[in-house]
Order: sequence, then C-alpha cells, then structure tokens
Amino acid sequence: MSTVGLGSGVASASNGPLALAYDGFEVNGGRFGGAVFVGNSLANAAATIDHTALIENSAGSVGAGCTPAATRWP
Amino acid sequence: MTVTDSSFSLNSGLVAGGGIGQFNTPLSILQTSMTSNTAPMAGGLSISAGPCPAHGGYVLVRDTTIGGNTATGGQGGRVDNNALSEFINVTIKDNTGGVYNSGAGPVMFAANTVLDNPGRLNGDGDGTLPQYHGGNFSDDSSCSLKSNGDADRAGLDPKLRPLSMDPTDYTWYYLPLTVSLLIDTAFATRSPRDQRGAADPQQMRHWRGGVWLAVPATLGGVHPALRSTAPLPNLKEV
Repeated sequence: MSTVGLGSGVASASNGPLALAYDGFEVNGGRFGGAVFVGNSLANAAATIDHTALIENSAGSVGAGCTPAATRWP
Repeated sequence: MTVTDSSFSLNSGLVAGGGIGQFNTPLSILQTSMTSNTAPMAGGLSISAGPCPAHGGYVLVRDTTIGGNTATGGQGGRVDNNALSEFINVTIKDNTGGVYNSGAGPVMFAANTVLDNPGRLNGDGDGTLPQYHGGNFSDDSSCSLKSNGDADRAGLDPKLRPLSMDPTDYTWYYLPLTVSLLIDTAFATRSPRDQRGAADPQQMRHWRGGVWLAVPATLGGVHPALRSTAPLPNLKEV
C-alpha cells in the first residue's frame, strides 16, 4: 500500500517506458492513477501492463486503477 | 500504452475513470476487464482528448468486459468517450449506463459490442452518435443502431451468465448461455480469440461481446449454433 500526491501509488513513470507483467497493485492511492500513472508531458505514454490485477486503488482525481496521460489532466 | 489480460476491480476515483482514466495518449485495452469500479463520471473507463477529440491518441478496446461499474454523479458514465476510439467485441453490462459519448464529429466506432444495462441508457451524451460497424447489440433503442447485424430493442435480452472470473488471468467476463441471441451473429469485424484467449471454433464467425461460449471438452465438439453456415441473421428482422 502506498499513497502519494500527483502520480501514483506503487508504480509511477513520469514519461515511461514502463513494463508491468504478472503483477498486482492493491489499495494504493494517488491524485491521478491510483495504482499506475504514465505520462505527463509526452504525446505518447509508453508503457505496457500485462497479466496484472489492479484492485481497490483510489484516485483523488482521475484514473483510480490507471492513468495514461500525455499532458497533465486539466 | 497497452493493457493486456489485466483486471481492474473495485477501484474508485473522485472525479472520473474509476478503472482507467485516459487523456491525450494512444491506448489499447485488450482481453481485459474493468468491473465494480466507481467514480462520479465514467465509473469504468474515461477516454478523453483535448482541445478536441481528434487531438488525442487513438483508443482501441477489444475483447474486453466492462461490467458492474458505477458512476455516482451527474453525468452518468460507465464508459465516457470524448476522443477517437474503437470498441470491438466488448461487453458493457450491468453498469449505471452504457456509453456517454460527446464531442464534435464521429469520435467512436463500435462493432460486435454488447450493451446490456437494464434500466439505464446504453447510449447517452451530447447527441454525438458513435459510428456502428455492425454486429452490435443493445437492450434498448438509445444507441440508434443502424448497421448490418445490429440489434436494438427495448427488453432485448442477450442471455448472459453472471459475472465469472477466468482463473488463469483473473479477468472477469459474462459467458453467454447456449440460447443467447449473441451466438453466431458477430459481424465481419471480429477477433481471432476472445477475452480468455479461446480461439474461434469456426475461424469464421463467433458471437458478439468479449467472450464466447465455453465448450466442455467432454462434448467433443461445439454448440450446434456454431456449426451453422447460414447467412448472418439481422436480428432487426427476427
């Protein structure tokens, strides 16, 4: 379990690339992307999530499980 | 970003995108489930681009289940779309509505997608209609389905089993009953395998939605409906 401000809980990649496989993220919290946030300023948030469970995460704004975003959310 | 064979469950957002909240970046969601997530808008999936829908990345959702998600606030939403997106073989069921579509121009395309959200609008938004490429199914007429093989009628029942979990990759899905109207009625745009990775028994056609019927090995074959070589029925005429 992890809680941070902008970004994510356990896994965060400000601009990628990020690769997650056979993982689990549970009960994390963040403003954007409760478990996983990828992006910020690039046009293409480079990341892969494969065979991963994202459960009971929370976001103070957008994307409780995951937020891929090219620019900061308005 | 690509999400494959993954499960988003019981997540909650305070603004939008209980499961996934995308903004202005290409995204592919394949063989994945978003279930029982919550947010004021877009309980399951939020797709957005700015300053207009064409400025964001292309979003593909394929062989995926979006079920039992809740939008707790004003703009109802299970899938909120304001970007260029395509849904193929997707089941959107038992959410607090189907798709909330908005933005200038045709921003969403759908094929072989099942919308079954009883008591809620399957098609909602600012009046911008998705483009339908055939084989879609809705249990109300709010989507204005008009393509070949589309079926939309109040009270139409896709006859899906309760939500089940795939023990191999932990994604959730609704399996069709053997009497389901979805069987053997998928249209031209189809997937070679379903959400669980099961291959199309005929390699020719299969059903709509994220998952097709499991065939017990003891039967040594496939459901009779799958053996049909008859032309695809247009359920609007049934």
